[in-house]
Order: sequence, then structure tokens, then C-alpha cells
Amino acid sequence: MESDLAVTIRHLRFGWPRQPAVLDIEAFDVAAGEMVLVQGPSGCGKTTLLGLIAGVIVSNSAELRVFGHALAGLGASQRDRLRGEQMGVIFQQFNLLPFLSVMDNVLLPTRLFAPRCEAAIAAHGDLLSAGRYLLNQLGLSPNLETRAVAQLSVGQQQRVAAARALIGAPRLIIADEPTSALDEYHQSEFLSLLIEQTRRSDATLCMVSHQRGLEKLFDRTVDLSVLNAVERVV
Amino acid sequence: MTSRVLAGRTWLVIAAQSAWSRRGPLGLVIAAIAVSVFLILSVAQLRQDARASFSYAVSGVDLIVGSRASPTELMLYSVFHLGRPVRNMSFDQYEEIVRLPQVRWAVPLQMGDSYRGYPVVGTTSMFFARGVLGGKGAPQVGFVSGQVFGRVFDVVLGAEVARELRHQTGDQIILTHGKSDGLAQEHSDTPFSVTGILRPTGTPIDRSVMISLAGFEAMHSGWEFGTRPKSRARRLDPSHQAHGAMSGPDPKQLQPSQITAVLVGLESRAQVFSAKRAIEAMKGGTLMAVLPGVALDELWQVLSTVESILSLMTWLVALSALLGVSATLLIALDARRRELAILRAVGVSARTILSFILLESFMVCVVGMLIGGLFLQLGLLGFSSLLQQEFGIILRHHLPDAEAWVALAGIVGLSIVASVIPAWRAFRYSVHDGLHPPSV
Repeated sequence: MESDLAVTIRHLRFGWPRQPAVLDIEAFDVAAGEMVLVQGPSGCGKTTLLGLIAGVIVSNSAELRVFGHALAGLGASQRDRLRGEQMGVIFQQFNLLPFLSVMDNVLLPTRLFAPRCEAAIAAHGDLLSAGRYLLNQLGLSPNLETRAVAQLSVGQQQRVAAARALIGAPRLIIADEPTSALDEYHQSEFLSLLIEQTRRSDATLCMVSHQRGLEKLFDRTVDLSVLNAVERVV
Repeated sequence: MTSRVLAGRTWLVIAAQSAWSRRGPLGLVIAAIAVSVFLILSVAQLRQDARASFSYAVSGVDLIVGSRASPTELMLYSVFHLGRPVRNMSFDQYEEIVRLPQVRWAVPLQMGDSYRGYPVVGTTSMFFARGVLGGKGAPQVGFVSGQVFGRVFDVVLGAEVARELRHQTGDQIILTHGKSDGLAQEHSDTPFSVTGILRPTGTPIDRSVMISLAGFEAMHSGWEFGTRPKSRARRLDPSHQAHGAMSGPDPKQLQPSQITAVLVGLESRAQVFSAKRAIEAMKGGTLMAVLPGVALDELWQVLSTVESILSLMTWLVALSALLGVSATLLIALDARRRELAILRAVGVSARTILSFILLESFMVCVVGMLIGGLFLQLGLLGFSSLLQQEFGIILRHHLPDAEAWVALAGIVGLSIVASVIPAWRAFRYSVHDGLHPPSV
């Protein structure tokens, strides 16, 4: 079941067990190929929203579709596969496995999921070329690829994480405050690169951030504190 | 299908790389499991071998006869050369036992002297011919070189005595009066010559220096007051032996009046109680006939408390080691939490993560156990002679007994629990953390 909508959310009400609701969203859509920035103060449920879209957290009551797939109707392993094949995820920091080299971190999704592997090979001939292309596009020098990730700066690590999220042409990039560990200069540089590469691979970008001033880089900005009907206790 | 195989192989590589990156804590876990396994297997092995060593030593004996005392003491002293000396019995009583219809063979034992720490046992050549060691699976008495003593001043050495003191047939040795301590006097005027060396048996025979009763008596001629006679006629000059077997001193004259104990083999084991009654009813009623199995059981009962305490201590050590395992893994948990959150984010299922955590725990357990088992085998090689020398326990390479298997299973269970609890918490975190790993 395919759809022009990357993400469809209807009647989402979610709270952790024995805790008050965190999210209460009547309707939220992200069109395929759209660059959406979800903003809002800390604690308004941004990360939880991304977790629900990625299928790491499950809400059985809501209607939540990703590219037409109703997540509640999928089994746990099917959700995981959907995430692995069609999504790329970037965290705030600590994105990389410390025991793998830079290149091995980038190629991880292609080694776990055949569609990502096939897409990377189709576009670049082989996996190594695909990894090198992305690292190069994200402004990382080729001599970094065999380095241990601990030797990289936080900014460099975030670019490697972006390369890993983008490799094998996933259709949806989910980014959870990927720039908050970076200084102002590197923030906009990183975001420009991320958005450019996401556009180039025709993917959708759904990013949350509490930082102001990023709106102009995105197609649309959503204020979660307005979208979310749950009253926040300050 | 191909992609699953590919993912499976990738997973194994990633899991191995992940484990290697945590080799410090995992190494400690493996060491803790290895030490626990080593301890538990060692205790089991010692218990098993101690029991086997003890029961082999009396495997062919139906009754041990001596003066009335504690049955365990009589057995320990006469067979194992341990504990306090027991009162002697008269040689006449021995001759009476030999004449009993139920008795197939009776081997007298005369004890009290030593040779460089090894006990000297006066006996007859029957000791070697009869099945003192005759039970199922028990080793047999036999000669590596030479033969049984034929003359008064001949001596046969147990395997360990010959090995440790580097004796061979033809050597002349001087025995010591009483135990070999600083005050002991030597029987320097009656040197013995080694005529035979026994095969190793894994029993106290290996540690024995065996001479004839006549030799024992001859050596003590004139020592009635327990010290070297001041002016001793050389009437027992060993050179007299050249005249033939038991020549020189008159064997009749050298018949002892007292002996320490008698080992008895019966015509049929069914007669053991009638023989026991007959021996204990002999005139004077001073004798006691002990069933070795019963005496051994009594010994185990005495030792069972010690065994239980040892067992308990072993388990406590193992438990504390495994608590250490848990602590080590819990400390390393935060780094693992991030790793698991990343893996979840790239699409690895929680079930796969859990199965690899369990596989890792299992592998760590197996490696720990193998290392523990290897240490035990090395320990057996390294300490077997010490244990044999100090405690008379012969270590054997064999599979652990049922109790040890249960203990091993317990260790596997405990160590899996110890490593799985932190792993399970990590897994729960990975589900709960979602896309938000801890930022510490």
C-alpha cells in the first residue's frame, strides 16, 4: 500500500504506562519529499513523536501510517524492517557504534537490509563507492573512513550519522535534534548539507528541534506545543 | 532469504566486534566464571579422588583385625598410616586367625618405624601375593623391578618412595626407629638392601617401605627399651644373609611376639559376620574385627561436616565472583544502552538484540567454563604429586561425577543469570529509550 503521504497521523493520544498523556494529536501529515521541522520546547513530546513514527514506540489506539503502512497493524519485526529499509535515523549525539570504523558505521544499514544494499549498488556501482560519495558530499575527507569514530569531532560524527541515515536511499529521514551538540556555524552548515542530500535522494525529512532560526531551511515548520493538545505542566 | 543470511552473518561480526570492544569487563566475567568452575570442579575432584583412593586401599580386604579401639583409628593407622598408633596384638592371635575356617588369607602388619618420612611396614610375602587390593577397578600390587624380600634384611619399596628418594634395586638403606623427627635414632647397624620396587597403585602402598616380620624383629633386637642397645653384638650382621634365604639370624628366633594389625581375606564375603564374631570371641576378647567399608563410612560421616563446609565456602566464593560479574556488567551498561539504541534505530529488532545478548552470555559462560576446566587439568598435572605426597590422594583424569555436573549446571545457571540480568535491563532500556539514548 503506497501513498503520497510519508506520514499520516490521526487521533494520536499517547502516554507511558501509569503516566499522564504526552501526546494528543488530532491530525498531522507529512507529504512525501517534504522537509518538515517540528519545533517546540523541551519536554513537549518531540522525541516521543519521532519514536512513534519510526515504529520504535507503538500506540495501538492511533491511526499512524508511514508510506501507507499502518504501523499498529504490523508485527514488531515488520516495523523494525520497515524502519531499517525505508528510514534513516539521526540522534542528537552518540550516533555511531564506537567499535566500528567510520566506513563500517556508514555501511551498516546496507549490510543489514538488502533493499538498502541494492539501492546503494544501483546508484554507485558498489557499497564502498556509495559510502565514499556520501562522506564526500557531506564534506568529510576520504582519509577519515578507516578512522575510529572516537577520533572524530562531534560535528564530523554527526555528518557520518547523516551519511549512514542517507545510504541506500531510504525514503524518510528522521532527525532528533541533530544539531543541538553543534555550534552555530556548524549547525547551519550541517543542516544545509543534510537537506541538500535529502533532496538529492528524493527523501522526506522529518526533524525535531527546540532551536529557533532554522525555519527558513525547511518547507514547513510545525509548532508541536500548538499541535499537541496535552497541557504541559511547567 | 539471502538478505537474512547476509544480515545474520553481519550480525555475528557486529556482535563479535561489540564483545571485543568490551573485552575488559567481559574478560573479568570470564575470569570470574573460570575461577568459580575451577573451584567447584577441584573440590568435586578432590572429594571423588579422596574417596576412591581410600576405598581402593582396602578394596580386597574383608576384615581389618587389631586390638580393641576405635574402628576408624585402627583402619587409619594400619592401612593409611595416619593418626595415632594403636595397641599391638599378639602374634599367637594372628596364628589363631589364620587357622579359622572362614579365612582364606591373613596378612600381618607390624608398624612404628619409618624411612625418611615414609612408614616402614613389616609383613609377609603374602602381602604381595594376596589381593589386598582386589576390588573392582582397583589397581593390583606388582613389581616394576626386582622381587619380594627373601632375606631378613631385604626391603621392598613402594613406587613413590623409590621415585622420590631415587632408589633402585641393590641400594642399601638405613631405617629410622620411630617417626623420622629430630630425636629419632637410626637402625644404622642393620642396613637393608632394596630387592624390589612396586608399581604405582594410587594407594598408601606407594608410600610404604616393606620388610619382612623377621627383618622388623631383627632390627629391634636389643631395642626393648625403645633405644639403641649400648653394646650390641653383631649377631645380626647382614653379611650373614649371604648364606641363603632367611639365613643368618634364626628365623624362628626372629618371630615377633606382637604385631600391629592383620588384614584378612575370607573364603566368601558372606562369612564376614561369622568371621568377625569368631575373631572377637577369641580368648581374652581383646581383638576387634573391622569391616573396611563400615569404617570408611564412619570416616566419611566424620568428614561430611568438613566437606559440607568446604562445599558451602566454594559456593559462596562462586556466588561472590558471579555477583562481581553482575556488578561489572551493570557498570558497563550505559555504554551498552547507547549501542543498543543505535542498533534499534538502524532497524535491528529487539528480539535479535536479545538473542545476541543471550548468545554472548552463553559464549562467555562456555569460554569461562572451558578455561576453568583447563586450569583444573593443569592443576592436576602440577599438584598431583604434592597431593599424593602430603595427603595420599591420587588425582585421576576423569569426567566429573554427577554432583560436579549438577554444580557445573548451577554455575552455568548462575552466570547466565548474573550476565543476563544486566543484559535484560539493557534490552528493556533499548525498548524504552526509543530514539533517545542517554546522553551521559
